[in-house]
Amino acid sequence: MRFRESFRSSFKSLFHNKLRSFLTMLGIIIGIFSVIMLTSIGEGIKNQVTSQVESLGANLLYVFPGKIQMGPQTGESKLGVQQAGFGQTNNTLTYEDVLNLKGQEGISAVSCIYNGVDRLDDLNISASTTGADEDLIKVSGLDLRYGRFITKDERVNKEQVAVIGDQANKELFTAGNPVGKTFKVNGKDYKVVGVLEYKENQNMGPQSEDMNVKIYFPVTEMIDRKDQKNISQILVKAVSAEAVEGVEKTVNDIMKKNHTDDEFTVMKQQDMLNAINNILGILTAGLGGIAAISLLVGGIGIMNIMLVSVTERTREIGVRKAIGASRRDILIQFLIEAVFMSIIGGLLGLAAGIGGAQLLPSVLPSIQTAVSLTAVIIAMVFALLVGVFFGVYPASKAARLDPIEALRSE
Amino acid sequence: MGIEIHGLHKSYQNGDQITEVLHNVNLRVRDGEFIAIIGPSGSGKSTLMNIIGCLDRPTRGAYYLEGQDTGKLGDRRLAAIRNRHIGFVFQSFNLLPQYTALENVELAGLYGNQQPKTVREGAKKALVSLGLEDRMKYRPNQLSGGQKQRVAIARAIVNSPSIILADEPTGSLDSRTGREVLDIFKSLNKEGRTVIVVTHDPGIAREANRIVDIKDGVVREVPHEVS
Repeated sequence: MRFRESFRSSFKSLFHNKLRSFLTMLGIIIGIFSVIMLTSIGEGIKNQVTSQVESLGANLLYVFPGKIQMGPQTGESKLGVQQAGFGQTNNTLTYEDVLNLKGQEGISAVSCIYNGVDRLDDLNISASTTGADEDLIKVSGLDLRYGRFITKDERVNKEQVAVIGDQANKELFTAGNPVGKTFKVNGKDYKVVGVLEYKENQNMGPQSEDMNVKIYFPVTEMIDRKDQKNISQILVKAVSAEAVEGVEKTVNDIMKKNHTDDEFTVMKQQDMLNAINNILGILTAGLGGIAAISLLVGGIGIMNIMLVSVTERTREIGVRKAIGASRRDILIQFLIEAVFMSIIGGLLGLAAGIGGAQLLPSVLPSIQTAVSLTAVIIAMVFALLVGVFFGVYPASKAARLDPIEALRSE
Repeated sequence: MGIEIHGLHKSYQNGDQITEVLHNVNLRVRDGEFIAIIGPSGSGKSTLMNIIGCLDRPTRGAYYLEGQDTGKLGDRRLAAIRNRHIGFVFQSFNLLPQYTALENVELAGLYGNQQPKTVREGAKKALVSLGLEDRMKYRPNQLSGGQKQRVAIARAIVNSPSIILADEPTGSLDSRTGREVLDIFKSLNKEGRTVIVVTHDPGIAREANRIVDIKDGVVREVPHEVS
């Protein structure tokens, strides 16, 4: 029989059993739907993070304590991050390093972050506080609502001044303009010199903190009164995105004067993006993989129904053979039926998945989705393969039926 | 040419028990004959018919169809022979319920790899020749027994086969429609086709040129007057 006729014949048989065909397809529909939905959510998160990281500026470099090896950089992707002495214990970065980097060629600003915990006597709580210097505002895009940021003089003289976030302002001073007022930290008075602009909480990206609860002190003042003398990270801003490569080398060279190779890691924006994308990519693939299991279950459903169908239609197979169908004709017909169900199911699932991915952000605004063409293609190819794989056995069973037995069956 | 069967045996294995259904059958059918195969149930007449129809293969012996040794042919060649040279008619009609009368008849043409347009024309012609021009769009469950059997006959003749094989074609019909169906077979035979009918019905057997009686797997020619 010509292929087109086999196709029509298969379609007719499926249409003859509309409800059953649909229920069988449902397995594939749900499978493809979940694959598309989950990968779209994964892609959406990836896009969100990427745009957030990029919004911080493409000419930033970070120096972290310890040796961090990035998969894509070394070419031997080992999933995520290998750490040696990451964290405070083996941290050897000092504010000296920041001062050494300042004013080097290609570098427009260098600052640091020092993480500490201080007692806020007015509120009777302990809060995490941050030590910074005058350049932080240049490298990390902070916007001030009132006053100014910490100055170089205040840093040099280790003055007891603070720049606070919007939420901190609300809690310490019940909003309004607090510049010039003081609040007590560890029993001492600190003068507010600036308040940050309110910022929507960004719960993703490398700077994953809530900027509104920040309390900044001059880094030198903090180091002076703390046991911990090491800073958490150094932020370097290159004069331009093109200068980043050169600055990376400069920073490495300068850092090596006071540190061994494994005491610090210099990272570019792109490196961080790569690392994040790597992890998110694996996550997305993992989610898609879990969803693909439901596709497999759908495929088993197809096989099950096809086997039932072959048994039920034994007589039909006998008749077809009697009027001139070869084994190959029967095989093709039943295979087409299975593949047809998986492909139609796949297309319906695809439509539902794309529709769901478009609708989801309007229902849950915090989730962004992006349908990736790769996921669509992979899902459809997978659906096709499921149809073929789970269709072959019932189809060959049908083809091998003895026509005499088949005609005799009721 | 026609049909030549030499020393044919057919046995089935059921577990470790082997049942011989046909024993040393020798039969020769010339083109254009009308043969009735009679015999009690389980005598092997359907088996013989299935072998003649290339649906089954003999365990031993040779079967030549139009001079061709069917034992040497593979599945696809046998399928092609069933399609082009043989038309099957069954007791229970064996129409496909999801297809209309026309589509059921077309199916035989489509398995013959013909153009869909040619197939449709041929199928219509066959149905018209059997007086079913106003039943083409009906599905089998909307047709009477006699109409169903006529659709089945149309399907059997649509590819202009030289041999019509009918297994109890009137078994499910009342005597009047059975008579009509028999008349169709007679006219098909007059057109030059070989007709082989397996039957219990002495009325049909009487119409045949030759009667072949099978008893316990052994074939015997019966003189016409006896039946």
